[in-house]
Amino acid sequence: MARSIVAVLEIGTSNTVAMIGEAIDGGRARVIGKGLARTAGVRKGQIIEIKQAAAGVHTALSQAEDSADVTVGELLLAVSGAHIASTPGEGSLPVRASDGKVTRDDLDEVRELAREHRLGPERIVMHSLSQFYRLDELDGIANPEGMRGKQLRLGTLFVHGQRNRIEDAMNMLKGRALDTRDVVFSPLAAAAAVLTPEQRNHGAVLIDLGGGTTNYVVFLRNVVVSAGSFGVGGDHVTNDIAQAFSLPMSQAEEIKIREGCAVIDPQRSGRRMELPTSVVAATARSISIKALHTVMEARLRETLGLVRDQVGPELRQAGAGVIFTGGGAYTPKLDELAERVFGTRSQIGEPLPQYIDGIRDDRIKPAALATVSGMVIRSAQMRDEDHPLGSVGSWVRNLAKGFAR
Amino acid sequence: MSSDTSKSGLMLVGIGGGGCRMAAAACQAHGPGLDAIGLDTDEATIRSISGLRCHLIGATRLNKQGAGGVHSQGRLAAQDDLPNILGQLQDARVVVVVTCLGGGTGGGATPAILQALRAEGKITLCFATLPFSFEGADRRQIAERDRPFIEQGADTSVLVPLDELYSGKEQQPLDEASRSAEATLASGLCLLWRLLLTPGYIGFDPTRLQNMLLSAGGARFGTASASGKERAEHAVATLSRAPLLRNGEALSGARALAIGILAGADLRLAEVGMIMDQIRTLCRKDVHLEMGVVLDKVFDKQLELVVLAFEHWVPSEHRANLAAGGEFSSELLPGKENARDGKLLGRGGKFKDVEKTIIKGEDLDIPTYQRLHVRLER
Repeated sequence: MARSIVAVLEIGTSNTVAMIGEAIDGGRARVIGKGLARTAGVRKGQIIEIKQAAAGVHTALSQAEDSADVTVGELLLAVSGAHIASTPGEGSLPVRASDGKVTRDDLDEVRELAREHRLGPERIVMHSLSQFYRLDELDGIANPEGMRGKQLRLGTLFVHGQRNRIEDAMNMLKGRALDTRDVVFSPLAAAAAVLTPEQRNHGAVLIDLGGGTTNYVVFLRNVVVSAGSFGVGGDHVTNDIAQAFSLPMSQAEEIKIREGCAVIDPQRSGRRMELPTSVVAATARSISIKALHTVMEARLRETLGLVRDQVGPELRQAGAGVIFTGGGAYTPKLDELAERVFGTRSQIGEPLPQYIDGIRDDRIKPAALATVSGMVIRSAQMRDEDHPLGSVGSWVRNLAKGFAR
Repeated sequence: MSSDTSKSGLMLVGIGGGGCRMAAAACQAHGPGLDAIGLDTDEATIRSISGLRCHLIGATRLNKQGAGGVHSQGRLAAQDDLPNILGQLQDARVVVVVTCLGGGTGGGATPAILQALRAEGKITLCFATLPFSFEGADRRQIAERDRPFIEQGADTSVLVPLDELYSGKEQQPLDEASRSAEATLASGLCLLWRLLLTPGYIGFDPTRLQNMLLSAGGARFGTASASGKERAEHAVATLSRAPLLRNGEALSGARALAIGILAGADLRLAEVGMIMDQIRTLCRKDVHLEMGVVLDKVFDKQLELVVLAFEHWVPSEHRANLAAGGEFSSELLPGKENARDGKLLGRGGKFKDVEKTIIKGEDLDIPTYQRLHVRLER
């Protein structure tokens, strides 16, 4: 039997990650190859220098291919960035049976109608995610088959992105003889790796704190009810530090990692941090840790507030709270800040061992691998014995089904 | 494009049958100078409206027959014609939208149009009525479902539950109540326009309104009218009982108020002082007040008050802070250290070569601490 192998790629603003995985028993996945490269030529999730970005892809993929001992010809590509948006849609049709009972045909047809959208040709719909059914006045129905009514409706959440941005990335891969089998919105993939079915059912807000973007998805009753992206990420935190203390970006990044905190840490706020003289010419100086934390808190609070305002009242129904993925998830005391902003508990979302094996890597923390892991996991869960890449071609459709019900 | 809009940057748009009727009534009450258009899916409704430039939307899709109460049809109709709609509004900086929720076009097209206007960088103030209870649970439910889309789409939304407007007047004939509700709102809109566009003794121009609307969220809108010797006292008293201001609750809870005083040349300074003093007593101590006074002969011997009450408004320098989580650390005190001469130090750094991240008018590439005027311990 052919091995069910999948290759996935995430060109993040900070890191480019390639992962090759295969399906193992019980719908689980195992990582057989990984590659990691510092990204250049990407800002806010957007490729601005194709050659530089391609170099990172080449490095990451080569590492992954070498460790897996396979050659990749096609892959799944994770996409994020402020150009990604979600738009609700709806399909509606009268129940056709004379007894008013909703049939399987009705469901199929309303689902087809719900997938029709009026987004312009400049947008690519990456996911059409089914919401709840509504039968006359009764809303929030998971499966109305057999119920009686007159008018059946189904909501859809379209997750879509700017065509030229997505195609730029795909064309770049084509230049390396790589076909993009599908594109996936990063946090949706991450959700497949870090959320349990219970969390998706109870309601959860997954926030992917990347280097250049902050992306989110919201699950309620196992349905994705909201998704979006902002062009603000960890780079903004670094940039704020650099400007506040007149530091080069590399030094600001180092300070952020070494002494950073999402809120003013009372344990450390009285301290000062000496800067190496080389940074500030001949004169040595120090910066206040309290000031550093103040700068970071202002930015992170604002960023989380953007998500909170977008999610709106659904946040209150997210019983499983907030789950952070991406490199920013490990910012110390992020949970404290999140509780203040969202009024709910939060946790770091790392790929779950019940879904995937072999993700550990000394170079990168697990939550930063959530997106690529999720793509491998979903592909493994939907493998098709007849095709080495399983039903990945219909990844989008299956993703919707898998998450919706 | 109207030269009125080019000059003022302000435009009124009625969406759906009810919205078009209200916009037309506002135009009629105001006379020349109120630049407005109407957008509807039903040709017959458009034909019945006079005094307003109405445009049919979604004609191909809906055969000019209306959206049939179907939200998605209204939305798709707007999306079909968005380029034309945006073309009509290209000179506007602030777009005031008026619509009635509960139907297909008002509830479906309005959010799509608001979203498109926001993407174009325009500031939107949306007045949306919620149907009378007697119109049935269906319409009410549809309106409630559409309501969050309006609240999300508009910079500031003013939701007007018609039941509140007519509480205590249940005996009024049905047709009269509906038309009277539309007329009341239209007259309020007309007053707002006069306040914004008439050169005032104390001006309240569209730019000031624009600054108040940004990220203000929900608002309440009320008007009051009085004449006679004690017109100032009576007008404030009427305002404090206005159903649309929840009998004064909207005033006492507001963080900011935009108040327009419109009167004839006989308005006395003492009256203005009295009005402002009395309104202050109805509000919280730290309320932010923006006032405009317009003297116009059309108000001779009359006194009109028009109020927008913003419950969640915050000063612009703290706006990003609120968006980011409400109360901020006591460390984040306003200071000038990082904002010399009131100017931000600029974007620069890592983002100088990429598309700006602008959200609700804020350039998020500028460090947050700079935009919030945070003083850093050195």
